[in-house]
Amino acid sequence: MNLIEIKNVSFSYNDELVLKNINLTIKKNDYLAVIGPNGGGKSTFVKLILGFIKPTKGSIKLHTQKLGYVPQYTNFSLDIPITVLDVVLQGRIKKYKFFYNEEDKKEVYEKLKLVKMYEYKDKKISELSGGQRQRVLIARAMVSNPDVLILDEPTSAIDPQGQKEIYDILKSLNITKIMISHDLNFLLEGVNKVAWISKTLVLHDAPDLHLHRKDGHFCEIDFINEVHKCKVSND
Amino acid sequence: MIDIITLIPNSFYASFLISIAVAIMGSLIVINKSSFIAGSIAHGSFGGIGLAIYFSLPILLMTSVFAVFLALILSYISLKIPHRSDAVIGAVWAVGMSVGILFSELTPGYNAGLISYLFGSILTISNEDIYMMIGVDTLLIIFISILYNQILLISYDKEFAKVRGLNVGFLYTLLLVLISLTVVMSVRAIGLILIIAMFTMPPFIAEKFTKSLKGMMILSGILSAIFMISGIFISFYFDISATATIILVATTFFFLSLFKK
Ligand SMILES: Nc1ncnc2c1ncn2[C@@H]1O[C@H](COP(=O)(O)OP(=O)(O)OP(=O)(O)O)[C@@H](O)[C@H]1O
Ligand SMILES: [Mg+2]
Repeated sequence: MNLIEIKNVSFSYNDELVLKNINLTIKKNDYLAVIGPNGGGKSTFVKLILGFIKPTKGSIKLHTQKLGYVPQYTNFSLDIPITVLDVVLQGRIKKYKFFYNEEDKKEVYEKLKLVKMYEYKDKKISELSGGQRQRVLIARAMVSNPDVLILDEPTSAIDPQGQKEIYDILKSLNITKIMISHDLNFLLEGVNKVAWISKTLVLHDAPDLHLHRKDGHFCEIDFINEVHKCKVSND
Repeated sequence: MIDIITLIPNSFYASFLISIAVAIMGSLIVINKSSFIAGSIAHGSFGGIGLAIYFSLPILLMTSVFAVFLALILSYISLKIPHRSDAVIGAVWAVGMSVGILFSELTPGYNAGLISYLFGSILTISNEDIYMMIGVDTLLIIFISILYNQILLISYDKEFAKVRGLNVGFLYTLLLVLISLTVVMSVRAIGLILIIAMFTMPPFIAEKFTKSLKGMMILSGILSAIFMISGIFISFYFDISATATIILVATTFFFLSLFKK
């Protein structure tokens, strides 16, 4: 079942062409990894899917309205006094829903257990580590029971152990996922499609990438660039 | 001196009514990092006062209209060009003030009254001012009781608020409009120039001691009431300006709170 259909989409900020002629179909239960250089247009790509910005050309068809989102930067003020519980509850808010009920709380507790943050529910969010905070944001994105979970570099600024925990959690979530990331070593577990975005989009099947392992390890040097080159040589 | 006794009740009522506004709007201004915007609305409203005096219109009404107008401009701009909004905020600040100065200059013999709008005069609060405060406080309480969760979300993370389908533009505009009404209701008591200090210091202190916005609001309301009442007493005792004393009391605690990590 197709969840998202992107057809001939281009996008420009003012006069700067950021994405050019993107085509991509995302099916139910896909786990799509989005990779590419800084400034390549990855965040722009997910913002188009989320509807924050509209394509300059082409069309994006969503067959679901239920999107969960974990933003790239924890761009909120850490000084705002707010507990983990209250942050995750935000995922239950809707346009005409003003108050939380018991069911909302039950859902929140469940998702907090899923990301192993339940014991921290009454802590202030500013007192958590980067990795813990990111797990809270994943729980917040999950409490609305979305059809698609969109994550923009959920593990930047997190140590390898914390990254692994987050990827394990993501792998265990039985849901369609779109994730921007640079940490391919972890990422390939469970991923079934990889989109390289650098103004244009080149799609790889994840099994392809496994071919580029060396002695059971992933290519280390300039891995991201190599992925792209490999595909070009396949053409 | 006899007059003062009859005026005292109003200055106490005003202290409590303003503290309610500080609790709600002051906290929202601080967590939204909008003190510069709030300052711009406060100073810019001087234009409304100048126009009201020149055209002999009701001052509170005219200033409200003018301040709401500024809030709408600022909301539009900070949503449209967030990265350059500070320049525009500064311009609104200055233009409003200039309009106020210009029109009050054109109005012969009114300058004495203007000082009280700039620096406040909490000891000479009229019943009309008290009614305005009750009206605005009522609006604020209704607003925050219904929209607490939504406003907290847009203050915390606007992008996520959009994903959840909230009308961020509308909520933010509503917030700024309420800031502008809060400014107008406090103008006679606190004065345009000191409003920002009065509205940001108590929440700033309270923020360090609480785990939730609700707690921050309650504590900053209490702090604000303490600062205002004690300021009024101290100013009586030493026969100095009440508003300035209130601000200095608040500032003392503000600096003390900086030592708490
Ligand atoms: N709000 C904006 N206004 C103007 N240009 C923008 C804006 N946001 C991004 N851009 C430009 O669009 C291009 C793509 O940015 P984008 O954030 O999508 O890249 P990215 O692939 O996510 O990079 P990173 O890996 O650094 O997060 C960049 O050249 C950037 O300068
Ligand atoms: Mg990005």
